Amino acid sequence: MLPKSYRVFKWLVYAAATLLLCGVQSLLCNNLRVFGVTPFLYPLLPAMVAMFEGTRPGAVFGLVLGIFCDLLVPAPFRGFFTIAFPAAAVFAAGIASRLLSRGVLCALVVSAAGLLTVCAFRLAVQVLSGGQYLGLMARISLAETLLTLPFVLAALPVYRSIFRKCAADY
Amino acid sequence: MKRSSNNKFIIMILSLAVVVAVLFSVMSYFSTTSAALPNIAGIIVSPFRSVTASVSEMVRDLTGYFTEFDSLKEENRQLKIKIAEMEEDIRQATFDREENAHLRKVAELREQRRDLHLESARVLVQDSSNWYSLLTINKGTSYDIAVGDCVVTEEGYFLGVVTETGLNWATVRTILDSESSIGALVFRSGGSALAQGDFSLMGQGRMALSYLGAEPDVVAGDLVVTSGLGGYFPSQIVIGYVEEIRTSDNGLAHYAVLKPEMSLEGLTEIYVVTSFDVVE
Repeated sequence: MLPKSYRVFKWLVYAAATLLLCGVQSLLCNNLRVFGVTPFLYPLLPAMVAMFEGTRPGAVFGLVLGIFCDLLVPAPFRGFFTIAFPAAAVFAAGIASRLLSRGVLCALVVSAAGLLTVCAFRLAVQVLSGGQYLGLMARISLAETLLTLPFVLAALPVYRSIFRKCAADY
Repeated sequence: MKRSSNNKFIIMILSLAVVVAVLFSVMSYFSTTSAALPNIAGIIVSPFRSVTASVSEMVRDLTGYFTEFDSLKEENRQLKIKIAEMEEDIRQATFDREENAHLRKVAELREQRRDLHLESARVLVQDSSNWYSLLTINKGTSYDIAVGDCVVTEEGYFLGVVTETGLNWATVRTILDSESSIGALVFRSGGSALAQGDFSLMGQGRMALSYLGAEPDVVAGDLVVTSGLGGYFPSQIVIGYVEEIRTSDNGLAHYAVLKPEMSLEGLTEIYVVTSFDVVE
């Protein structure tokens, strides 16, 4: 069990790393368009934290990040990410607990799960509000997921180093 | 036992998420500008957004310096031809204007007037994601910018509408966004229509011109401007050009695909029309 002060420090480092990756989204991803599609990093962040830290911390992290994103990032309705990110984190943690190694492959699988959970929520909102362009939205969701997955290779070392450092210290 | 407490915790977090989401939605619903929390969040991140916008601009300028030489040369050649054509038009327009003024005097018509109060602003975030086409700018209610104000580019082309404002920031929904809709006029025929963002066209940087009537008097290449009907936006602001006419899926109505004149690429400065007075 980590001392409380160390736990606070650990989550502050996680927050700083997440802010860094949010910077990657606004500096790089928002200006990147491949076949008309832009990568969307935010959903993979709670998924990766949940992969390392487990369901409970992952869900809380997802909730906090969801609130942060709802205040600053456009969504189908305000509160969308607050619901979608904890769900994505729980789903990702569930998958990660069934896989043995928490390496690149596991990170790719849980990140895809996180991204697809958010896409599923988006499609559900669209169905509830009339259901136009569902096929097109599904195609874009899939393209967005595929385009975002390579960024796992950038996010994974960041989160893994925090997790390993804390595990090594205690 | 542990599994059961874990499940309880997850249910608790998800319930909390739903409560927070409902609170957010209620706050947004009852606020005419932006709710208090998004406003504060916008104010806090504003300096960071300014820094990222500057860095993006710097990188774009630097890469553009090396990659855009040939295209700029070609553009320069085309602009020279366009200037020559426009100078010819200006000579004719000067003559027409004098004649128009004289005829207005004879017919005792009111003099045309066009006063637009513009507030310049800088683009902080271009959120042209896969789902929306929004911009965040660096001015808000402290500069009299309000929800519903129309926004134009440096060249004067219609860009979008302010949808949310904070103290020192505002969100602009561009005309490409699927929720955008503006009263429009086909300049050549004078036919009115509705220029609407369309999700299926957004990715291609196009929008739809709908409600054209049973036999639309629209052809490819037609200029489309704002109609000004209802007094929400000034009239005669250029929206774009008609690219092609299509028939809707049910085969009953026609719509035109519109290529907006504004370009989001490299967009850094914009103008918000805070108030206007147009007499035609």
